[in-house]
Amino acid sequence: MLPARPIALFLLFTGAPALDAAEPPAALASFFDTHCLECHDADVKKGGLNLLDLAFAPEDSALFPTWQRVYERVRDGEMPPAKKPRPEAAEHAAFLSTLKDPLLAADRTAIATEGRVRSRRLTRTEYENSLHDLLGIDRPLAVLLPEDPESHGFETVASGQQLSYHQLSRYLDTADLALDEAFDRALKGDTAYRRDFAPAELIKNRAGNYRGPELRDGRSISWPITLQFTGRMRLTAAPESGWYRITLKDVAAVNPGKDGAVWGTLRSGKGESDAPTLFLIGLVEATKESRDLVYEGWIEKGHLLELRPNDATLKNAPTGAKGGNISYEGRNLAKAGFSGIAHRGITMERIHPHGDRAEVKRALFGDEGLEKWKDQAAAAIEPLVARFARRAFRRPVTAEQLAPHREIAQTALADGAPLPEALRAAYRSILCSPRFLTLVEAPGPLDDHAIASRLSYALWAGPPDWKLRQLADEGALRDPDKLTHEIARLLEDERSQRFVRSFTGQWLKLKQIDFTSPDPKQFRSFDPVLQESFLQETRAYFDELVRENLPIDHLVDSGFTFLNGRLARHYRLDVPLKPGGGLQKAALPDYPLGKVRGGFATQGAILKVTADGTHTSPVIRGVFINERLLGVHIPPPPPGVPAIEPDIRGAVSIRDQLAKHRGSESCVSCHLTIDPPGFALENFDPVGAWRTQYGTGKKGAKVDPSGTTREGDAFADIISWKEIQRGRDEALARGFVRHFLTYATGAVPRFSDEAILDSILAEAAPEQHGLRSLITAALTSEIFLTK
Amino acid sequence: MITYTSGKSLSRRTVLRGAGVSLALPLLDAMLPAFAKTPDEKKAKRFVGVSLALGLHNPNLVPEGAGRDYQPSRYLKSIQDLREDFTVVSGSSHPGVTGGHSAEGSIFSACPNMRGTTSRNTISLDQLMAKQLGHETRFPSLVLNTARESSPSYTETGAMIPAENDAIRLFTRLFVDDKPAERERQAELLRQGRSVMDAVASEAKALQRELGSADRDKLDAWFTGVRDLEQRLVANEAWVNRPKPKVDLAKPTAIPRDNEVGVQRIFLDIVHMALATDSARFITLHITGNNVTGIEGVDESYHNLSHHGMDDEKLRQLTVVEQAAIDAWGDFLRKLKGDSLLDETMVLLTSNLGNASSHDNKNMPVLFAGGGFQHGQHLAFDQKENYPLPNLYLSTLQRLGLEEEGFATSTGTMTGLEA
Repeated sequence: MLPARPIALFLLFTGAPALDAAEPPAALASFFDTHCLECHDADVKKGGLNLLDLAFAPEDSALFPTWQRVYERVRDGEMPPAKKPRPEAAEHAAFLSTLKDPLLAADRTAIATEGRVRSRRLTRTEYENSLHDLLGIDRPLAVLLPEDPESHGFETVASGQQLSYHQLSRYLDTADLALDEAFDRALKGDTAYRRDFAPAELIKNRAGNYRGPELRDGRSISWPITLQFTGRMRLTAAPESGWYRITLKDVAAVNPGKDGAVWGTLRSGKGESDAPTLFLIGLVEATKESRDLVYEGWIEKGHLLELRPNDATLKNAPTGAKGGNISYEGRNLAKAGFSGIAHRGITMERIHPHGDRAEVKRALFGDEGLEKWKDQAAAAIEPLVARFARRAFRRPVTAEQLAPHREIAQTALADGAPLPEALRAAYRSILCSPRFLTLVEAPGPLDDHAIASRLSYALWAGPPDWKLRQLADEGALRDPDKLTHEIARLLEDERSQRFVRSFTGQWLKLKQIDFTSPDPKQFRSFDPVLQESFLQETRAYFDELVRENLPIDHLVDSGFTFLNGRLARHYRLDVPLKPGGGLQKAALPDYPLGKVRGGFATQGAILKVTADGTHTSPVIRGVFINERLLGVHIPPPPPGVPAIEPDIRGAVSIRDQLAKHRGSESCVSCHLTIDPPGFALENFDPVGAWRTQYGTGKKGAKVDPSGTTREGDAFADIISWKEIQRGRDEALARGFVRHFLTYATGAVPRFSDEAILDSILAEAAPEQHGLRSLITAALTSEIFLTK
Repeated sequence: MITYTSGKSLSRRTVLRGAGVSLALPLLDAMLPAFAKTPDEKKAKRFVGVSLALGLHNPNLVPEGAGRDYQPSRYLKSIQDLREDFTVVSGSSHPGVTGGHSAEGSIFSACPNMRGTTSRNTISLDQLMAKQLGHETRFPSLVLNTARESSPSYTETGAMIPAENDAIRLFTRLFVDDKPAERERQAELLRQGRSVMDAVASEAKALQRELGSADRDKLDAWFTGVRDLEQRLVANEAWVNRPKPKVDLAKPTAIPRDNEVGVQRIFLDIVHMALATDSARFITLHITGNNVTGIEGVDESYHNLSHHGMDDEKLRQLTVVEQAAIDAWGDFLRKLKGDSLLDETMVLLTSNLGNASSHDNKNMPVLFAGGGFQHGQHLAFDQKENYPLPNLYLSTLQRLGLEEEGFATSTGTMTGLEA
């Protein structure tokens, strides 16, 4: 061992606490000398790290990450590298304990003075929910704003959010549009609309290519015909953009399959080739027994309904005419054995799901309405603008904070605008204020209103309701019991479905389900019904884990999932499902094809978002499973690594190609962790179907799903891989809590937060780290309750 | 530029301009003012960056032989009449840029990124140009996308500029006048918008006091955003009273949604007119659509074709699509050339992907035309040790007369590219 440097020795003996700020303490200096400086000095600077030039000043936020990395790599045994002599245990421990305390102190000071999070902005989903709750309106607004960038896997993360005048100008325009709707409804009233379409009417308006349903024996029937827009009904075009309730009457299956149903979709869209996008309103499960099916959806003005069987496994019916026209003349498709969806008419009526007109009026003009301010418009400004600002800003508002908005209204009024116009101008500026668009949090422990907002955006993806605001006003939310009670209430509320959708959308990347479309030649069984069923399955499964507080090992395995008839067929499972029952909780059968489906990793949605349209990659799936489910962080690949050229011809498996890649030393250390789950999932193609061979027509190479985990546990396939992962409760729970807190606070838990994470896990341990217990413990932890 | 989305907001929010007589001038007359002032010195005035989200198949693109005597590659055969007007560059890429598709954000910023990190993007080339030179036109820049709202154009605060992805709306914004009543209302909203921005600025200032130093960076972005938007609102108010140019191009009525290259052509036609009428000088067009089955001989989606995985049939179809995209780019150049615009307009065609099948960001496809450079050559750099493409970007900046000393990771101006 090299002697420690003199300065360090001197300090060691005197125990002087006043270290030269730039010099590391003795235990570190000697450890560096012995184990590190051969590579990390001024000459070699391996990995860009020169320890001699690294000032020991972890309180400097620019240097902290480097010191943290040094600590973690030594702690995890990654440094010194495997081929070098190991540090002795005592030396190792001394190094870590010496470095840890200054790091903890520096990190805690930084959190106390600056907080973990910097002015997190509402995502566009949260923005939409906020305006809907605030104004009682229901027009989709998220699509009008720029997409939110993702950072550390989540859109809520403040450090990834940027602002520019483009974004601000969108806020200006979108607020305007939202207020248009609200003021129009409040001042002019809602437009009512209700129409009944009989089957005979639905075949009307045959101008151009007929793609509509058949009229037979008083019923309207859609057939599986491959032409685009088959099943469109021109007469159903919406008179105005808005929400509609659509009732399909006496829906029945024609020639149902083995699951007793014919699966289809109800969609809206322009239905023309220059605007081919169709928006899903809902799945249609037509059964032998006829029944009414009711849907609710937003439909743009002029968009029509399209109802068609949409199951790729159905035999397609011929069009019956040349030139893309559909004709049923002289043919009996039912007799010919084709499956179809029949009904006896459609009712469309306009609805306002987020609030009636009275509610919108109340939101804009207060409980007593504009009538109260007749002839005294000037007096109305202050109280009404203040009321709106309090609700928009989700906290009490001082006179000073109110002033700029109030003045806008007063100026407008002075310029001769009527009271509603003056209020509208002030509301517009309130909706562009950073107090509305960001979560305002001062350093240190959060005040009650900041807690209320964090909580509601975490569990509802929207603003606090009156009850939560009231508790904040009373100062009750810093009381752990009351807070716990509120967490339970919020989770019970229907609005928690927004959380399920928003969180799984980001955590499990369900938002990306549309990113690639599977190659229809290779994956013939894929269809829109299946894609929607995938999403429903994964969301329902997560919801069940939270609702029933199921143990954390359900992330990787379980004895049940959620299926509908179409999905069960895709998974090749023979389970008892009620025809017409839609998505149902179902125990997984005990044979291999059943056992493989438990847990998130083998759900169709996950298998699809981790593949592209033509092939799977164990690396992409492996990174996803490690990071999202197993709680293992995978560092990015070193620069300059050549990518693997995929070969889909079937003769070479990607696994063979990877073997070469893993042969190199710089790759293998990470790929030992990355690849195993990816290998185990190779039995699933890009659309989540089971396969044992690559390529189409069973001609390709055989799938080899075996492997060995980083820890050295061998597995034969996905079933035994799951067995291994089920024993990793703590790691799974820690990973989940980190993701959840990142989503809920807008920042990744930090170095000094590990101890708090430990106590969160300890709190949930008696419940086998049930998801609800973990969420509750996280939301009552210091990480959540401090900026 | 204020960008708009919904159909409803379009007519109402399109920036307006003065009632006035709509002068149905022939195109050339309308163009005159812009060209009469062209200085004698050799300087470019405009930049158009066309980027392909799915790359170009390198073996079909990169020519045999370097320098002026290169043999045209398969893809370049159809634009040999333009041989002296463009340079093909191989073996170049953005240093430190990885991440496959996610490197889209770096196409024009060349900002080194690493997968999974949160490093902030830096300003893109077109926006740097627009920031310094874009104030003379109705639109400082146009940020366009054939299908999506994403763009490779980033502000100096690292925020992505949402793209205009509707060609019909784009045409309306550039060339169609609003009715007087609508203009009136727009002017009012613009004025109101400025007072809203005043209020927002004072809120941000108050928050800075309340939140201390911690959130300073974030609040600074609010100040910058407010200031920039105020400037735009003022400028837009000024444009309200100037007539929009009339052009010899019909407003598109139907967008061929099954033919991405057809959509690309529609956008390029509008871009041509935007340049010809001097409505904007700095333009990016990101080509991201996935539907190409409307192209003869193609029956698969663009993305799936790009993942050809060496399959012969997929490669054949991919070649058809990519050839069509290059032909469309060539036709665009011919139009600029016909209007004598090409010498003053730098036109780049590139992609973040050098190999879409493997998601490789090295060896980016690069075709660079116009701007008064000496073209007609193949600049062949090392396919293994790539040449820094930001050097080309620095060359374009200097060609505009900007005295930038570097751009992103540039090491100088482009070797072998002379004006």
